[in-house]
Amino acid sequence: MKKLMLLVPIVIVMSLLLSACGAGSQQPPATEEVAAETKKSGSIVYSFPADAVQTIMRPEQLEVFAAANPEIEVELLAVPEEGYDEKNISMIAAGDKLDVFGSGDVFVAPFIENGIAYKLTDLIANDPGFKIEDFAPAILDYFKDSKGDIYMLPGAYDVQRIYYNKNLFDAAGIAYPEDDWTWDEFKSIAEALTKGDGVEKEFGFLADTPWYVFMPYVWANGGNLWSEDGTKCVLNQKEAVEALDWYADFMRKGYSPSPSQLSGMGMSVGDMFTTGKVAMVSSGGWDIPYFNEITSFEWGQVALPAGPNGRATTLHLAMNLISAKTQDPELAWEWLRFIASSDMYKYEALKYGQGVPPRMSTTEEILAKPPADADPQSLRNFEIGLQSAEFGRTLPKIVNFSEIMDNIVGPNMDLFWNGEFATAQEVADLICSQMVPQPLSH
Amino acid sequence: MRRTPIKYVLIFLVPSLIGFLLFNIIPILSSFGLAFSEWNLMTPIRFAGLNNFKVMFFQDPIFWPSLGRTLKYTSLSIPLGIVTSLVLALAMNRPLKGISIFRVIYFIPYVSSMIAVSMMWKWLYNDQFGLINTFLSYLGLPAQNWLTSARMVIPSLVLMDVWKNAGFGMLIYLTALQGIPEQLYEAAKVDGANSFDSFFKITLPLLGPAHFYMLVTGLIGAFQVFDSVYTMTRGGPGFASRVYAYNLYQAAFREFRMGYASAMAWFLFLIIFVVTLLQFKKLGGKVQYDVI
Repeated sequence: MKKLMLLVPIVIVMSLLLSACGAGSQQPPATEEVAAETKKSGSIVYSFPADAVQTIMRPEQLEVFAAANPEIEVELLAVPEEGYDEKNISMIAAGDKLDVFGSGDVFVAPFIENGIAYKLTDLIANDPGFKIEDFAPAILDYFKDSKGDIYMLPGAYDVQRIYYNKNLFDAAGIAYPEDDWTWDEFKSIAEALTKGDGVEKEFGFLADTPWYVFMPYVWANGGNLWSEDGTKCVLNQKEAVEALDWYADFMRKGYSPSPSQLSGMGMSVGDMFTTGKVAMVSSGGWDIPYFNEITSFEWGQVALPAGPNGRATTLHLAMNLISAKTQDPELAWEWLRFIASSDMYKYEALKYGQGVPPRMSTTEEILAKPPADADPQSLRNFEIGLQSAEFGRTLPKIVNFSEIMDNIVGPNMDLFWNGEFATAQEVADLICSQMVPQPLSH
Repeated sequence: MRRTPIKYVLIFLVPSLIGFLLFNIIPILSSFGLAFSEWNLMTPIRFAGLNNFKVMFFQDPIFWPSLGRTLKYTSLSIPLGIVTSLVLALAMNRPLKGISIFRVIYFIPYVSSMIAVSMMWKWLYNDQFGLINTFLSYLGLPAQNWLTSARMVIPSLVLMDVWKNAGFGMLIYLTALQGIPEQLYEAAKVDGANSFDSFFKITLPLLGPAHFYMLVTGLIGAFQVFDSVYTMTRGGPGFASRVYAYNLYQAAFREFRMGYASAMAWFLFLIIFVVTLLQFKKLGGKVQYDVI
């Protein structure tokens, strides 16, 4: 009896230890090469954020892929959006099997710098059928290092554009904006469409304050946040400061709520538009499904207005990449090239209508021969998206992007938009004195 | 009486000890090592000596202000929390019928999830539609920018924290109050003491151990304030609610600076340790545990 009693805790301990060891060890995928053609076979793991589109789309894509490649097994990992990138990084750090995964523009520089991404240059060079030249150069360049080696492939991209409430324009007798409208026209329209007071107030434009909403105005005036080579802060230079003051004017003059006022209202940016509290709002194509539910008024989309130095907008880039720790890069390439193919981009664009295909010919095809049941707002989205591939941009790559935005730029700009600094020059000087951008070392 | 042989004691303790070792001791030791290293999860861990501390103390522009904000939060939440708990306990210390229902009501916020409470209070505090401002308007008082003004945001967070935790302090004080013998009050009445006197001369001093406990645990908790800030304000507006633990979280999980975040964690531990030690040395001796 005593011996049996001894056994129980030992069994518990052993099972605890064994369960800790068991999870995470995987077999390398078996690959066999068939004589004439290199028929790849094996298994790979692909992880993606479980957003509304991909949760449904990726399994659908897998069905098509599996039918054409029955010898390749792809395991899909739908990871919740909150903590998505942390999960991937932890998996890689722990040595778990992860061959291909998606991520966002914030991680391009850190992944390249820290050797997380597998260099795709050779895989692409050995695959002429992939047609890499079809990708918009401005977008593809973002995923290259300074030597021109490419590390990731873009996913569908999004751009900032202005949504406007047609009914409010009609009521005020103002013509709808055209894609080539200017800053001055923009400001005067916003002024004309602002009316009322207190809780009933209607704003002409919701000047939102994430960097990707106000930076286009800095770019359109010839300025930037930091230099193209990512080595120094240039926000305190004349062009940027002018643009920031110009944008802050919307809030100072009351054409737009300030961030405090907006958070005080408890409504999201999208809500402010759908409830008719703002006549114009800047956002990405991701709001189209939400705005398509609006029944109380008609709305349209227009590209951002041209500033003194030309047109600019923010490109929201996402990408898929092969992990540097993958055991079979060529097998992983089969899946990556599939989800980055013209057919798949077209499928995503037509079915979900938000992201713009990064292959220019695909977008041109869709616009040239749209399907009969295509949502006109989606087509307009693609139109603006295709234009924006010319003049759209994002912040130059730096490795410590998150740190600088969270701790220096974000809160200080917040204070500025809420009126805590008298001029943009003050906040820009402060930001530049504290910021130390870290460019890619290669 | 036969003493249980030590081997049986050990056998039953071993599973729990292994859990403690794996999930507490080893992570604590690792984080101590990380405090002197650089690690972003993507590249191997690199030894960095005292570099993290150098950056923390001398180069990071947001470090010292965040410590200041945590101190401001603590200096408000401790006194308010202790007084509120004491008042509640005195109120609940009556043999009225149904008093236990009230005790439960006041205790419920303590067992609720901080995240759920924060989300609810975020709406209560809403400038335009929140219940608090609406109620103030009925009384003819002006609406306040509870979470959107740099001046008000920390007091607002403190208020919610006190509301949530008062129940637990009430329990502590209630138990302590019931440990004070009735004879003392009777004797005092005989000597001509009024209720004011008996409160300040009998009740308050004899609650010494409870005060001490509330102070020590309250400080340890207040220095680590994070959940409410993360849910309600994300450190805003501007930097106004950027408390120490919030920066620590950002450094670890948004910026992937594990070494730096570990250094911050150990410095916080040092502060709390020293503060607690001081309390034990200065106040511990003055607390009376035996009444008569």
